[in-house]
Amino acid sequence: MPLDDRPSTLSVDVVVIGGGVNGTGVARDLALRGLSVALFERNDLAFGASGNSSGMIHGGARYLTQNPNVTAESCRDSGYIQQIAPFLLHRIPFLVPVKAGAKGRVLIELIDAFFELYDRYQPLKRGERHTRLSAQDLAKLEPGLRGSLVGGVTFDEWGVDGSRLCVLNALDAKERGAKVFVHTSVESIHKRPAGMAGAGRYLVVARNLLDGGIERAEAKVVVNASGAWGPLTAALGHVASSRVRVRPGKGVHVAFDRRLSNYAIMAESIDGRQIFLEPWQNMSVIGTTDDDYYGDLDDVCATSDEVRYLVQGIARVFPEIRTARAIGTWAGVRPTLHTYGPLEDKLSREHMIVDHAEDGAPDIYSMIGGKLASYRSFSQEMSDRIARDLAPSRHCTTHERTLPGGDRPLDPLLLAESHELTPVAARRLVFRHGSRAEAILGRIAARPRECTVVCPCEPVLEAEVRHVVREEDAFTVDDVARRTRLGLGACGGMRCAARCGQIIAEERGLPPQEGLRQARRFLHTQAKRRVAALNPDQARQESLALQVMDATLGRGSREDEDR
Amino acid sequence: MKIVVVGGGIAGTAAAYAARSAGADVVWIVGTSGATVLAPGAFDLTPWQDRPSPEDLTSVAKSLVTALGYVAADGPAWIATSVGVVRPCRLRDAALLDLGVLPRGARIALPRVVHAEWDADALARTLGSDPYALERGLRFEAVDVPIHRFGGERDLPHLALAARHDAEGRSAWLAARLRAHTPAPDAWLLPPWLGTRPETVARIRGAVGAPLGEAISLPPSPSGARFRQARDALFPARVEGFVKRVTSELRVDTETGETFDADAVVLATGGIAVGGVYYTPAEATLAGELPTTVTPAFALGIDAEVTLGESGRPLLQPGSAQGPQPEHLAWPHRRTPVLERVGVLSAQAGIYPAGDVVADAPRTWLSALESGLRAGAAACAFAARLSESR
Repeated sequence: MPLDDRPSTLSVDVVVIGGGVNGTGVARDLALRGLSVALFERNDLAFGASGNSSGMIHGGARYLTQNPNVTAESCRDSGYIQQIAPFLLHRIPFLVPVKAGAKGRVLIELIDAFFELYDRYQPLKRGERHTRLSAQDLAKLEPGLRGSLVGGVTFDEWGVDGSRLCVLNALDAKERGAKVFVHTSVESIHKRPAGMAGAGRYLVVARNLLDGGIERAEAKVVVNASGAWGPLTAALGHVASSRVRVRPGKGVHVAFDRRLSNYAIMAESIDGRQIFLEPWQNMSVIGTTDDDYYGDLDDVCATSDEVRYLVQGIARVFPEIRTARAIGTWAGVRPTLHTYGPLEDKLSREHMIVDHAEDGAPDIYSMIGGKLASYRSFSQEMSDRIARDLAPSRHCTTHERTLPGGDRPLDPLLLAESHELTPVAARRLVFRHGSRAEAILGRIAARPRECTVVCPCEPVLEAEVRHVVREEDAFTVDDVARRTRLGLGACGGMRCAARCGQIIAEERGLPPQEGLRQARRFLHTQAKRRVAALNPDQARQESLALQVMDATLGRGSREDEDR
Repeated sequence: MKIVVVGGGIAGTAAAYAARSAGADVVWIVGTSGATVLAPGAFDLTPWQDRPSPEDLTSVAKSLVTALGYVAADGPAWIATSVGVVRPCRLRDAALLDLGVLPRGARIALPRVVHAEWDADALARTLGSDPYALERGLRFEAVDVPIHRFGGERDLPHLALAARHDAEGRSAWLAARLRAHTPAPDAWLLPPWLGTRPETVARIRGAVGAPLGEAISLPPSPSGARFRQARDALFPARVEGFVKRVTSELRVDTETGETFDADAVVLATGGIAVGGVYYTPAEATLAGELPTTVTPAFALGIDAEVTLGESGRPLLQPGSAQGPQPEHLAWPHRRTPVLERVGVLSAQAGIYPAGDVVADAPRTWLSALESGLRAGAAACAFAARLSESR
C-alpha cells in the first residue's frame, strides 16, 4: 500500500525533531500560541548538549567586547528564565584569581574595568555587581586557592539544571496539547503530493526504539532542532547535510562528590583556555574541554586523557582537586556553526535558522548553534517565523508564563515538617519541581510507602520516581536519572538502580525482569562514564561495588554490558 | 613450628585454621575483616553466573565452614536476593532462606513493611518471574504482617534492625507475629533482620516452626556481622593490629612496634578492593607538573619480599609519568579488569599469599577460603622441612 493511503495517526501544524532545549523550547512556544505540535526525540529529552552542559545560564560576558548585543540578549533571556522557573536556579558567584607579578597588576585593572562594564547588564538577570578583592580577601573566601596572587574579581552567574529545563518545557508543551514522543527516532520525512487529503505538506515517520512501534505525523512545518544530529536529520528530509553543517565540539565535565569551594573559580588550561571549578547543585564540577568530535553522537564518553587535562589546569589554582573524589563525568557535543580553520575555542556561539525553501523543501527549518542561556529567544525567533503564516495574531508568551511549578514558591522546610521528610530531601524536591512538589508528596497520602528514599545520595523519594515515570515521560533508569539525579551521586546507582528499574517495570506494566535488565544497563553505562575519572580510593570502592552488584543482581548477559 | 598469618578475612581465617589443625603455633594478626564482612552470605567457587562449579569442597573446608555457622549443601542452594533474583550457591549463611529445599509449588510469604530496601509487593512479583521460581512453581506473596515495632524503623538500615532482633524480647515478638498469621505459609522470606549473632536466627526459627530466612541484601548486611562473631568465637586468641613489614628473615613487624619471628608467613591482606594491594598512580600525589619519581602504580600495602604482577607478568617501570589510563585498567571495559588481577605473583620461600592478594586468582569468597587453607598447609609444610633441616 502506498505510504500516503494509510491513515495518519496524527495531524499537526508542526513537527519538531529533537528534545533538547531548543526543540522543547520551540514546542512550548508554539503550543502556547495555540498551534498543534508533535515532538520526536531519538533518545531522551536533554540527552545531548542540553543535558550535558556546564549547567549555567550565563550572561555571555566573553562576547562583551566584540558583540555587546549578544551579552545583552543572553542577560535578558537569563532574566526571563528566572521569572518563569525561579525554583530551578541557584546563584553561582564566580571568582577570577589573578597571579601576582607586573603582568598581574595590569591584568587585574583590565579585568576590573571589564566587569565594571558587565555590571551594566547584571540587573537584567538580577545579578550582583562585581567586587574587587585583595589577596587577603581571596585567602579568606577560598582557603583552597594556592599560588601567589595579587587579588581577584568576583562576578555573578546563575546555575540551572539543563535536563529539568528541557523536561519542564516539554511538560508545559504537553499540557497545552503537544504530543511528545521520546525514544522515537524519525526515519523519514516525505513530501506529500499536492492535493492529497489532509492539511500537512509533510509526512514524518518515526520508530519507537523501545518497542519498535511506528508513529506517523502529517505536518505543515517541520523543525529540525536536533543539535549535533542536525545534518543527519536534514538528510531525512532530502536536504543535503552540507546545508546544516555543524562543527561538533565535544565538551567534558567531571563531577566531584561534594561542593569543594564556595565560589566558582576560573583557571587556565595548559593551552591557555578558560576552564573552571564550580559548585553546582550538591556537588562540584570542573569543565570544560572543547575538541572536534568525530565519533558516535549516541555514545559520547569522557576519556581519562580529557579528565587529566582539566584536573591539571584546575590544580594550578586549586591543588586539592587532585585528591578530591570524582563521582562521574559527562560529555556532550556542541552543535557549533561550521567554519573550517579556527581553533575550537574561537568558534562563534551564535545561532542561526536555515530555511530549506531554497533546498526545495519549503517549511522545513533547521535550528543550528545556540546556547542554553538564550534558548528561549532562539525558540521565539523560530516560532515567530512559523507563526507568521500559521498563527499571525498570537504572540510569544514564553517569557511571561511560568514553566510548570513556577507559579508560586513553596517553603521546603514546611513541606519537610508536614510530610516527615528530611529537610534536604524536601529542598531538593522543590528545586526540581517547584510547586509541583506538592502533587508528588500528595501521592504519599494514598500510599505511605512512597515516602521511602530510593536514592539516598541525592536523595530521591519513591513518590518522585513514580511521578516522573507517569508525568514526565521517563522510560528507563537513565531517563529517571536525568529527571531526578537518581543514581548520579557517590554510589553510582549501586543502591538505587535495581529498585528504580523495579518501579519503572511496575508503572509501565513491563515484566519485572525488564526492570532488572534496565538497572544493569544503567549501572554499566554509569560505570563507563565514571571510570575515566577513577582515583585510587575510588578504584577500591568500584571494585567492591562490582562484587555487590554481582552478588545481588548478577552481571547479566554480554549484550547488556556491550550497550 | 611458628606460623604468622596476616589478615582477618576469610582467607586469613582459613589459613589460621589450617595451620592450627596441623599443630602449628599460630600468631594471627588481624587488622580488619576487609571485604569478607561485605560478602552477602551465599558463596560459590566461581562467580555465580559461570555456574556450575563441579568440584567438591575438601573435608577441611567443610569442617571450617560448618564451624563458622555456614551450611554446605550437597546440591546447590537457591537464594533470593533483595532485588528479586534467585541465585544458586554452594554454601550459604545459615540465616538465608534456601528455596531449593521447599516443595514444588510452595507458597512463600513476604511481610509488607515500609522500608526503602524492602518493597514486598514488587519483590514478590520480581521473584515470581525468575526462571527458577517459574520452573518450580514457587509462589511469592506479600502479606500484611507489620513487623516494625517502633517509630522511625522505616529509616533504619538493615544492619541496625538486625541488631535489634538480637534482643530476645524482640525476636520473640517477631516470631509471635509470624506464627499468628493465617493461613500459615510454607515458608517466610524476611528482610535481612535476623540478628547479628548466629544464634538469633536459630531462636526465631525454633519459635516459628515454618522454614524462614533472609534474602541477600546490599552491604552492610548482617551476614558479615555474623561472620565476625563466629570467627571470633572460633579463634579467641588474636593479635589486633596492622603489619608494617615482613622481612626476608621472616620477621613480622606491626605498626605498634611488636615483632614476631616466624618459620613461615601467610599473607592474606586482601587485594585491590580492601587492603593488600595499593593503586597509586603518580598523578594522585602530584603537586607540580610532573612527578619527581616515577614508580609503578601498584604496590603491596606492607613491605614484604614479594613480586607483584598481573597475568603472570611482573609489574615493570610504567610507560606514563601520569600513571596508566584507568579506563584501560578497570571495570567495566573488561570482564576481569587488570586492576583486579594485580597481586602477589611470587614470594620468597616461606611467604605464602592467600585470598585476593594472589595475582590472577578468581575473586570469590570460597576460592579465597580454599587458597587460605592451601597457604596454611603449605606454610606448615615449609616450617616442618625447615625444622628437619635444622
